[in-house]
Amino acid sequence: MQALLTMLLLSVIVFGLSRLSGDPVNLMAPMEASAEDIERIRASLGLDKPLIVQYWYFVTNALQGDFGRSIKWDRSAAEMLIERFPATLWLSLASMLLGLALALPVGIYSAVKRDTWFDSAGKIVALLGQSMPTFWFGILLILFFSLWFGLLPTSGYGLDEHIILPTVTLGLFVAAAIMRVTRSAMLDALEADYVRTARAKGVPEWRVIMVHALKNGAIPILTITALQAATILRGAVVTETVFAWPGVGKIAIDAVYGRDFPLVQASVLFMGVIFLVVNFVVDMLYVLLDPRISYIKR
Amino acid sequence: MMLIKAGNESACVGREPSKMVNLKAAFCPLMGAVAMAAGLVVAIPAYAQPKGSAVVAVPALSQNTDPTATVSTADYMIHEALYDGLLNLTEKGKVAALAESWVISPDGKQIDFKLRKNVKFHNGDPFTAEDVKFTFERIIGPDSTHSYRRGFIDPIDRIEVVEPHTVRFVLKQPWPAFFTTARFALTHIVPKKYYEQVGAKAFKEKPVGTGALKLADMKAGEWTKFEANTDYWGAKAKTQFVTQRLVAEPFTRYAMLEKGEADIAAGISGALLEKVRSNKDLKVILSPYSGTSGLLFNKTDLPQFADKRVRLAVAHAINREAIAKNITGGVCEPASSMLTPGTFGFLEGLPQVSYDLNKAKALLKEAGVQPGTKVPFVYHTQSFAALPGAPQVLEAIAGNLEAAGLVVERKSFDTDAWLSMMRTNKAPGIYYTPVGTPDDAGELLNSYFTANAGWTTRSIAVPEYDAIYKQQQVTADLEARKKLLQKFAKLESENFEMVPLFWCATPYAVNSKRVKDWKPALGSGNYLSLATIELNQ
Repeated sequence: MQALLTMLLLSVIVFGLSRLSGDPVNLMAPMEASAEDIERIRASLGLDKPLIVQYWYFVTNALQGDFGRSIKWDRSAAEMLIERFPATLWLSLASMLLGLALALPVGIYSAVKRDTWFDSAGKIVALLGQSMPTFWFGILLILFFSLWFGLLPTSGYGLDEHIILPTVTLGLFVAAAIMRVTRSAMLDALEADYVRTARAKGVPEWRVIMVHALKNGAIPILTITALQAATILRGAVVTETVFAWPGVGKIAIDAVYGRDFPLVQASVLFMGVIFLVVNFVVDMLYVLLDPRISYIKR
Repeated sequence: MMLIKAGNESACVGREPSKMVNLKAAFCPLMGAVAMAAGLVVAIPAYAQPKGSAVVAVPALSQNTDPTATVSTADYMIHEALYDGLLNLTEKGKVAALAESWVISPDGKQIDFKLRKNVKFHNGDPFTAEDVKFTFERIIGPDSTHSYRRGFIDPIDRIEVVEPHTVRFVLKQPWPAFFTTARFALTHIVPKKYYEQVGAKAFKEKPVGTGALKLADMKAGEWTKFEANTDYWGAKAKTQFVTQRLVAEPFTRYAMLEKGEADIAAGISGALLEKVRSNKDLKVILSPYSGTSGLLFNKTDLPQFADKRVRLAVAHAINREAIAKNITGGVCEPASSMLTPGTFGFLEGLPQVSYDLNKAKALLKEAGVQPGTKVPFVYHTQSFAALPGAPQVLEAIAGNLEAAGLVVERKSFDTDAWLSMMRTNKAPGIYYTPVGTPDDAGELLNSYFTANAGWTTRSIAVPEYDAIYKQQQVTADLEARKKLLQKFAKLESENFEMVPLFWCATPYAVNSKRVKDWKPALGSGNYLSLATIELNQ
C-alpha cells in the first residue's frame, strides 16, 4: 500500500517536474515554425491537452504497461528501458559487490585497529572516495588505465573488460560510505557489554569480531548498503554517460536534455520501482538479522 | 532555354544568348568537379572491395531515417549516408548527383531535371522520376511533418513526370535558392514503391535509399551502423562498415580516438582540441564555414541601441581575434560579415571592425550612453555547432563589454529555454544568435534580417532588407541575384543591425594512424560524408 502511494507520488512529481522544465516542441520545431506549426506538433504529442488530462492518460496507460513512445527515438519507452535494464543491473551488482568487498574488511579492521595508521589511511581513502565526483573519477580512470597503461578499453559494452572501469568508479564511491558506517558500527559494537562478556568467556578474538560484534553492527551496515543502492542508481546516470554504458541512466539523462517526457517519466518510475524493491528486500533482511524486528502484528 | 550538362565543358564556354538564365557562372566550377570525379572513376580499372570497419564517436545522434519527415538539420547526419539528392554536398560543395543536368525556363518558373539512369535503390528497385515526384510531394503534402516544408510549399506548384528519367518542377515563382541552399537542393530521394508498400513507420526502421552506404543495423540512442553499398552509381565507399556511436562525454570521445577505439571524434573543442593537436598520431580536420554567429539588440529594452554608433561601439569593444585564438582554439575566425566566404552572395573586401576600446568608449560617449549603463546579456549554457564553447566565448564578450564601461547583467539559458525565449520575442538586451549552414544569403535574409525573421526575434526592421529579400526571391538570374545579395551585405556592413562575431568551422579529430583519407563536406557540420572514409589496411 505504502509502496503504491510512493509510486503515485513519484509519478506526480516526475510528471510535474518534467513539464515545468520546458517543452520538447521547442527543441523539435525549426525556428521558422509558425505558431500553428508548433501547436500542430504539440497536438500530435498530446501536449495541447490540460495537464490534468495528460496526467490521467499517463497514469491509466502506465497501469496497462504503456509508458508512451519516446519523442526523440520514436520507440516504446518501456521497451527501451527493458532493453537497457540488464546493462544497468549488471553494473550495479558488480559495483555493489566491489563496494562491499572493499568496505567490509577495511571498515572492520579499522575499527579493530582504531587510531592506528591503518585506521587513518582508511579514513583518508573514505573521505577521498566520498568527495570525488564520480564523473571526474571516471575520467581519471580512463586516463590512467586506458590511455597511459593501455590495459582496458575506454568505454563501451559487450566485452567482459568493459565493465571494469565503470564498476571501479561506482564501487569505490559506495565503498567509501559503507566503510565509514561499518567502522563506526563496529566501534559501537566492540565496546558493548556482550563483547566484553564474550572475551571474558574466552571466545577467540576473531569470533568475537566476526560473529558477536559484526552481527550486532550489521543493521546500520545493511541500512547504509541499501541507501547506497540508490546512490548507485544515481551514480549510474553519470557513470554510464562517461563510459558510454548503454544502461537506463544514460538514456534517462539524454531524455532529460531532450525534454523527452515519456522517456523521462518511464525511466524515473522504473528506477523508483527498483529502489522500492531494494528497500523491501532490506526490510526483510532486518527480520533475519534481528529477531526483535517484526512486521507482523501479534 | 539553356541546358546545363554535368561534365560538359562546352556548356560553360559556349555562347551565351542574352536574356537566358545565367546559371553557368555559378555552376561551371561545380560541373568541372563532377567531370573530374567521373574521370577518376574511369581511371581506376578494378574496383577495390570495401574493407575494414570505422567508428565515428559523435556527441549527438539522429536516427530519424526518413528524409520526407525531417525534424532538424541534425537528421542530415544519417540521411546523407543513406540517400542521394538531386545534388549532393561534397568536400567541393554541391555537385550534380541524381540529377545529371537541368533546364530552367526563361521565366524561371519551370525546371526540368534529367535524371541519372541505372541508379538502383538498396533493395534493387530502379530509381526513376516517380521517386523524385513522390519525395517532394510528401514534403509539401497536407500530412507532411517535414520541418522545413514551408520553404518547399511556397515555390512549388506541382511536380510532373515527363519521362521515366525526366522530372518537371512547375513553380509558382522562380526558385533560384533551390540550387544554392542545402536544404532544398540536397533533398534526399526515397523510393516510392517501397515506401508505399511498407508505410512510413516500417520505412523508418528499414530505410532504403540510393546512397553510398546502406543501413546495416541501429540501436536507438546508442549507435547506427552502415554498410558499403557495392552497387553504388558513384564513388563507392572504401570502408565496409561505418558506425556512428553516441558518446556524450567529450573526454571519452577523445580517449576512444587516442586509443584507436574510434577513428573520428566529433564535437571536440577547447583543451581537448589542443591535446589532439599535440599528439602526433592525431589530427584536426576542419569543415570550414559551417557556422557563424552574431550579436543582436533588443531595441525596446535598450532604446540607446537603436543608435548605430552604440552598436558599432559594441563591435569595437569585442576582441574577436583573442577569443577566436584562445577560446575556440582556432576553430573560429573573426567575421567581417554575417555572410561567410562560403555563402552565396558573399561580398569580398568588407573591412573587419578593429578591436579598439578607446573608440568604443568614445562612440558610447558620443551617443550619450553613460559609463555604468546596465545591459542585460544573454548567456547560453550549452554550445551550438555554430559557436563552439559558447558559454566561455560569451563570458569573454561580457568581459569586453564591461571593459568598455557597460555594466553587464548576465542571464543564463539552456537551449530549450533559449529557444522559447527567441520564439516569443522575449530576448532581453544583448543576445547572440547562431547561424548553422550559412550557404545562401537569401536564406540568411529570410531567417535573420527581414522584419518577420524568427532567429532575430523580429528585432531588425530595415525596409530595404525586406525589399531585397522579395526581389532576390524571384530573380532567376544567378549573377543578378548575387549582386542583390551583395548589396544587402554592403548595407548591413554599414548598418550593424547584427554585430558579426565569428566564422566557425566544425572541427573533427581524426586518428591519422588508422584513417588514410576522409573528406567531410564543405559548409555543414551535418554532412560527414561517411562514405569517403578510407582506413589504412
